[in-house]
Amino acid sequence: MVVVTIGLLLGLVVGWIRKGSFWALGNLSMRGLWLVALAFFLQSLAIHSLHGTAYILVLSAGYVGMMGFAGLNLHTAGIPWMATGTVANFTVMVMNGMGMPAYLPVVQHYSPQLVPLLLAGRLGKSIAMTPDTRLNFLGDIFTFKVASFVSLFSVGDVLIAVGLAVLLQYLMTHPKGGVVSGSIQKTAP
Amino acid sequence: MVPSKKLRHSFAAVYAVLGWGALLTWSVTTHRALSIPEWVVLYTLAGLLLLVERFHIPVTAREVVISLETVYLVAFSWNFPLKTVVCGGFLYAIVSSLRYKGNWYTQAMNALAYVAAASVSIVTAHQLAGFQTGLNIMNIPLLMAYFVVYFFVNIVVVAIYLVLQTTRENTKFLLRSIFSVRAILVYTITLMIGMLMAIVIQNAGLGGAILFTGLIILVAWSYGDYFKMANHFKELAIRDELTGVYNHRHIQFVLDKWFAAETPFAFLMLDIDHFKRYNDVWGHVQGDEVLRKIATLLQEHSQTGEVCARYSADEFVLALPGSDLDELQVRAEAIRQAVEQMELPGVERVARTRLTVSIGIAVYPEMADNKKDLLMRVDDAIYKAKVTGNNQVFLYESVLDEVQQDLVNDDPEQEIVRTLRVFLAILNSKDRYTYAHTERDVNYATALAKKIGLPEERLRYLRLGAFLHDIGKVEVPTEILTKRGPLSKDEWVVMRNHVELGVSIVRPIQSLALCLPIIRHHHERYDGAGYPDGLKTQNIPLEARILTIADSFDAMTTSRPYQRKRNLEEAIQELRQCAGKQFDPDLVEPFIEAVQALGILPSGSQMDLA
Repeated sequence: MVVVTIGLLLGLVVGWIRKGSFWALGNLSMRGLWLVALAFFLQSLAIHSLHGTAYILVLSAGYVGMMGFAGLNLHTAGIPWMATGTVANFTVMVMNGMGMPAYLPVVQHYSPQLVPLLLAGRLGKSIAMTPDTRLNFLGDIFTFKVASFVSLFSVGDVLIAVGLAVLLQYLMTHPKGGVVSGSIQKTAP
Repeated sequence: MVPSKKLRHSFAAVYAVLGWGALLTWSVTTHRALSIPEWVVLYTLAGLLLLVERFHIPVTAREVVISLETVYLVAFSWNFPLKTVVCGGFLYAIVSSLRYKGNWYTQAMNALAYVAAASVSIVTAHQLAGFQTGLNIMNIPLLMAYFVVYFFVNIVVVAIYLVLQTTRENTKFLLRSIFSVRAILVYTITLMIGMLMAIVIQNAGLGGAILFTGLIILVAWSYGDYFKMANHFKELAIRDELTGVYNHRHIQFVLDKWFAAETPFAFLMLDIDHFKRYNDVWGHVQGDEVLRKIATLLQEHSQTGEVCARYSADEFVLALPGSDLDELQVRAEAIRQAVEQMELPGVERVARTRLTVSIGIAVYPEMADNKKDLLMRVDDAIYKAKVTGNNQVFLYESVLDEVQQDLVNDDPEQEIVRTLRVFLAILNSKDRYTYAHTERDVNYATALAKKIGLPEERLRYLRLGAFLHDIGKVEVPTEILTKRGPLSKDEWVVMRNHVELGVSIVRPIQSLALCLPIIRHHHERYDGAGYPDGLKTQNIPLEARILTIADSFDAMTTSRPYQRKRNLEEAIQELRQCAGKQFDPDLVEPFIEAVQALGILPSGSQMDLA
């Protein structure tokens, strides 16, 4: 989440520098916004309360919802980035039993107490990255540390953050935002 | 055979794909699989390249920028395994190429040039340094070798691409700009920033690269504003405000530059026919719109390295480095047709109304060796296009040049010939019509003489005589020569006197003695009513009778202030009516056939605008 928050802040700052308006964010009009809320709810439900097949199905449904939303708004600035990030995350999870592989040496370096928990099984949606892990380069391999808070994230998360930043600054600098499929072809300059 | 544009683009696309294929194959087969930390580096590099692709640091106000991609590839290649850099560069190439859609290969090629240069130069540096990794900034010879290899590889990759993708002239032009002092300055600055970043990464890792990126972006952004301002003022100074193409000042600068560099080029001038009348009828707002449309059309017809400018109110020019004459005429003709077919207001109200342009072409160095002469040549060409009916393309050609060549080769009296040339220049400046008219007379008279089989030697004197027949007008006052209304009795006396004045000017040149009867008698009439001697029928020298027809025909078919221009059919009809009166009847039909074979006058009536 940290990287997505950074994307959000970056989008607002760039939008402001480019003489955009914060009020323009209110013009956000996208198709199927409810799918995002549903997807977040399903992901949260799966990670915190479900196990086994129910976990896999509900988490997958959450990702499918997100990808459906991205598909509906693919012509909107930033959405192609977010869609690619979501697909990258979903792909690596599907290939690894709906678990997101985390690069252990990084975890060991910053939060050694989490290593045994990861090795023992799933921690949230994270699993330990092993030599058998498929598409390991799409897993959580980046780290970000602010004070004592450490965040582990994947290249998919970075793409989602970039997409969010592009979208926000676009909305801020285009007061008639109202981004409807097919009406706007340009991405942010 | 010159490959088509589409084929050239296909070559370029294949080249980009093959180049990347070779580079990737080499890096994959010679290096082990990437570890997770290397993937992190790969993603970081690709991400930073994508970010900085949108920022450039201007170096001078003359559109020279530092491409920041090079900085990152240099810095990363000094600190991380080459495979990581190549794959990171490849990921960047794919993602950034997507933005270019149909031109994807251009960006793929750009990225290839950067990555290939960084790869080959770092391999060379590693070999020279005995495979020690890490940058030692004090190892100056090694860094110099690195610089040279980088420059060389980059140029080679780009040059191959240019050869495949663009025309030979454009390639030469672009390569010349690559090998300029300014370009080498940019390379040096870029590589030095790259070295600096390499040191930062060496000491602070990827965090250092990200910090450096922040700095670079801020510098690029703030510098960009200053350069934007400088460029804005520069654009104001060199662009035409109305049409957006370059202005008169800039084209003069370009011409000076090309003349100084002895760059062969073609100069094409386009004049809108009857534009004043268009403005009068449709108003200046609409006239401005027409100028904009024509400027846009010209820009669409110009290629890289060519300069399009508005020369004056309704005149545009196109300067094309190294164009060959055939291609040039085809392109000029395409422009002429495109203007003729342009959709304009008024077409729906006045049927057959078309705006047309007359185009003149002159080429350096073949037709002129300095700017002033070139501009005069192109002006002459456009004048000929205008006076013979508008809506035409005319390549500059001068009978004077040929005639002078004849004289200079054969005659010792070069001083007199030079004087003669000065007289002709004076005549041209006094009355342009007369000068251009004599050139056409030469062509018409030559055509008729060949038709009736005049011997070669007599033909030569006929050409010289035809060219000099009006030279006596140099002594006629300009106000009489260019008078719009009918001449008074006294003025006619002065005007008629030009034949005798011409004879007295040419008489000192012994070798032109055979031209004197032509000059003296070209205003005689077959029925004896002409001047100065009132000669009749066969008493008039044959060459003078030939010239009389040519001279009259040209007067009929060109626009004069006091006389409506006839089209070809009308002129032929008049020639036939005057056969036996003004003209030798035996020469009229051969002349008509000769003129029709020349095909330089449009038949049918010309529709005037509005």
